[in-house]
Amino acid sequence: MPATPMAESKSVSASASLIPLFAWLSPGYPVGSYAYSRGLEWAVEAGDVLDDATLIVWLSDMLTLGAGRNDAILLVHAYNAIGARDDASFDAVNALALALSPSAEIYLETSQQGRSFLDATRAAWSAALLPSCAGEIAYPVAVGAAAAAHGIPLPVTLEAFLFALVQNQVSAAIRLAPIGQTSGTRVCASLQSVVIATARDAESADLDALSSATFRADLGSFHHETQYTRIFRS
Amino acid sequence: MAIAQLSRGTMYANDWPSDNSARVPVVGRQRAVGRIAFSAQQIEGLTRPMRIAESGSMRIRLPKNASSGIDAVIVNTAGGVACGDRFDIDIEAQAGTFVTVATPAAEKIYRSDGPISELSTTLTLGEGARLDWLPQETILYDRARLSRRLDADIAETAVLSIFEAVVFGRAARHETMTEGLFIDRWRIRRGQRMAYADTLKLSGAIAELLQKKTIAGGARALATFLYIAPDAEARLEDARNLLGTVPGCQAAASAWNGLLAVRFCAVTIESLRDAASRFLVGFRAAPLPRVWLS
Repeated sequence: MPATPMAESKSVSASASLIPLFAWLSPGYPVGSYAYSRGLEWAVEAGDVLDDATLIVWLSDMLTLGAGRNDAILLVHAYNAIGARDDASFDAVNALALALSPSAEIYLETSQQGRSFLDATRAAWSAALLPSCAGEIAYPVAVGAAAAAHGIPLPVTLEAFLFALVQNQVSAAIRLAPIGQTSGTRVCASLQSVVIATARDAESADLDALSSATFRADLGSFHHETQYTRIFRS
Repeated sequence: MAIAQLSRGTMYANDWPSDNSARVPVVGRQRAVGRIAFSAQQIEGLTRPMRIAESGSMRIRLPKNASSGIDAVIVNTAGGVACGDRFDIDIEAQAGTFVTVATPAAEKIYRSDGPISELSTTLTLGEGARLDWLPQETILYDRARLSRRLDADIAETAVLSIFEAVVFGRAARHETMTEGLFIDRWRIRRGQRMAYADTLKLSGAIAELLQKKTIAGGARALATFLYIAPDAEARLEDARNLLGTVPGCQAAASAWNGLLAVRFCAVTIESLRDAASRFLVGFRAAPLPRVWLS
């Protein structure tokens, strides 16, 4: 099934610009990414993340054993469904992506960002294949759909998406205080190879490969709901 | 007795002290396969069994009780799950019924020499039906390999409670799960739409993975309680109040979209049972299934 859209995207890729990707995944794109920490705020509160080294381990786990890898796989399947003009598969991937949210806050994070991303992209970066999606849409699904609709190659989309996720988490970590600006940039750079490996792994993974081991990190997002002082919505 | 044990020891691979089934020959070992299909219907306000099918080592018991519902007990007479075994459980609670399903003991998943054991549970709930799925914990022996799936298909007005706990390694023997595989795949559909999906997967050096802060932070017993019901979100405060502090067990609740989830992460199965029992009794406003206590 993915053979057709992959071939199609490759033929477009030579001419497709990466500029939309830079716009969509910049911190300035109006999806409110600055408001979410995906459980990192609780991890700092609980003392699980307290310096560069523990942040690198935390983010690396989230990429390879948790939500990062799953989001990448979901992005791939949304991308392929749009390329194949397969509405039923697209709706199924989106429903699965929303249902995979382990808690209220993670659900809010993916559905609010997904909706904001789709609205902003339809307004500024419209494309014939971009779906309107009346109901809720998960963030990685929306990004995958936009990239496919603009003919942006899948591999670079995946790397950019996952690296933006890392940068957003590091930016949250800097605000939560355990690390400074300079070490933040070092943490981002040191995760480059993990991002690349996760992107490669996701590219050919089927939906049965969706899985996560980060049980306690997810439990942390439950705890975050009742955390006394907090600056993030997740 | 001694003679029987001796002969079992020479002929069978699953020679465990507690295992009285001994029907798995070493040579040309076949997977044990077992299945239960159970369906309940409502007759004049009472829940009654409509269909019971059993095969292999799986049995379902329906002890008499005083309520209008059914308390079903699922028994695996093989005494555990050996490598490559496959067991299926299919429970249907038709419109208006109330069914509680429990198990009389922890399910033991023995060490595997390679093949993956598969457990599959399918739950179907009609309009207004209530099903409480409350098996006791699953114990994964060192080098166990288990792939488990739980599929539920429920009507909009149905009420489904699921509690599943897993322990990595036999605590009583101070066993750690150095190696193994555990896949726990849940897919819940409500009114034909995917409402909740989760796949927990730990593969390889499990004891090491459990040390990770993101995975278990050194805990060895994990559990998830999921409540899918029209009033799920309204019961969040209720649920939080029932999760008091139990030493050695972290637990918290979250509710969204007609779902309420509670996760437990504990150093020992005893502290997990302590926290979970208190929660389940309070949240269900009912005692634990009788077989949990015996």
